[in-house]
Formats: sequence, structure tokens, C-alpha cells
Amino acid sequence: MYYMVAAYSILWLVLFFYVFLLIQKQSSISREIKGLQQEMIRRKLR
Amino acid sequence: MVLIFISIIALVFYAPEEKTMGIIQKIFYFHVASAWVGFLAFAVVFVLSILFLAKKKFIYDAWAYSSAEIGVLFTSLVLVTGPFWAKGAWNIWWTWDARLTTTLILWLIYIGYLLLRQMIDSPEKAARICAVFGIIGFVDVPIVYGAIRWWRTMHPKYVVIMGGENSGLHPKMLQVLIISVIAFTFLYLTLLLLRVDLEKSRQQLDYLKSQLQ
Repeated sequence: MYYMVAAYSILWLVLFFYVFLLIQKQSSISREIKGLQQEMIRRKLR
Repeated sequence: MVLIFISIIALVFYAPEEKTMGIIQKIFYFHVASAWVGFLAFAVVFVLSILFLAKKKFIYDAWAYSSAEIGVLFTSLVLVTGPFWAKGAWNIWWTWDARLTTTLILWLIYIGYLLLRQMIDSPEKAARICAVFGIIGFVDVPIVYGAIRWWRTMHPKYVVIMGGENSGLHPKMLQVLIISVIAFTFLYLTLLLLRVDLEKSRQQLDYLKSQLQ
């Protein structure tokens, strides 16, 4: 019983952590892209 | 998510308890489903690596790289859930049995694939070398699958495909296994789409950085 609970807990923790990392990485890259795009517009306007 | 929720409910309340192993056997449903997703992910890497080498389009490489990462994730889950089942059923965590060893080798091959990508600076060179690595690495997948047929192993014998008569899987267990496999396949597709989106964003970021320099 304990082994089954442990196995399933690890399985779901790892999967949720992976999804969390994907979402976090995506939002940080999107922020960086937005910053660079604004920088490009600023350079063009100068 | 709905399918995963249904599969959890089915394995807890609907799937019967196995006579000799007891409740620990219920690890089987997500253990096999994870192994199936691992195989599927590496098959996708194999096909997309061939397409990349043939057509030289980087979108194939982005899909292959994403699929390899998810394949490693699910193979890691197989290697983690398996020992818990082994400890409960055989009273050992690990044995150098053909199925277990070939699965570990498969995991190491694709860990190598991911490391190789980080180590090579040029994206074109990394994509080309990893495509070759992904094609060669896939050779281990049929070996893992055939290990329980070709060698004497401790790992449970095949009970689903080519199991023959009296292969031992109760119809209710088979139904729950099919639901779990379908649920995990959809989970794989969802993760793959998320991961490919991330890879595309990363490529866009690299392009913007090169434009600004």
C-alpha cells in the first residue's frame, strides 16, 4: 500500500513540477521577447 | 485532465486487486502507460530526426528535441515507479534483469541526447548530430520491448499484446489499462504542444538577440 502511494505521489509530483517549469520558462521568455521588441522599436525611432 | 481523473478513479475503485501481489500491482496501470509514452516519444524523435536530415527544416528538430525531453521524463517515471512495484512484489528495489537494464540504457541514451544538445554551441551542428543520435538511439526501443520475449527475466511476461490464451490479465484490468494508456497519450500530446511552443519562443528570442547585436 505505502509503496503504491509513494510511487503515485512521485509520479504526479514530477509531472506537475515539469508543467510548472514549462509555464514559468515560457512566461520568462515571453517577457524577454517583449523587452527586446520594445528595444528594437526604440532604436528605430531614434 | 478528465481522462486522467477517470483513469485514477477506475484504477482505485474498478480495477480488481491482483491475487498474489495485492494492491501493489495497481502501480502497473500508470507504469505501463508511462513506458508506452516513452516508446511513443522516442518513435516521434526517430521519425522527426529522419525528416530533419532529409528536409533540413528546423521545425522538425524543435519537435524532435521536445519529444525527446518528454520521453526522458516518462522513462524516468518508469524507472522510479518500477522499483516501488519490485520492492513490494519481489522484495528488491532493482535487479540487473534484461528488461530493466535495457530500459536504463534507453534512458541513458536519451539523457546523452539532451546533454549533447547543451554541449554543442552551433544550433545547426547540434541539430544534425542529435538527429543522427536520435535515429541510432531508437534501436534500443525494440530491444527493450523484446527483452522479456528473448531472454529469461524476472519482469512480468507480456500479458496484453501477443499474450495468448490464459495470459493472465483480467478483462477489467485490461479496460483500466486501456483508459490509462489513452489518458497518458493525450497528456503526452498536451506536454509536447507546450514544449514545442517554448522551443519556438526560444528560437524567436535567439533571432531577436542576433538582430540587436
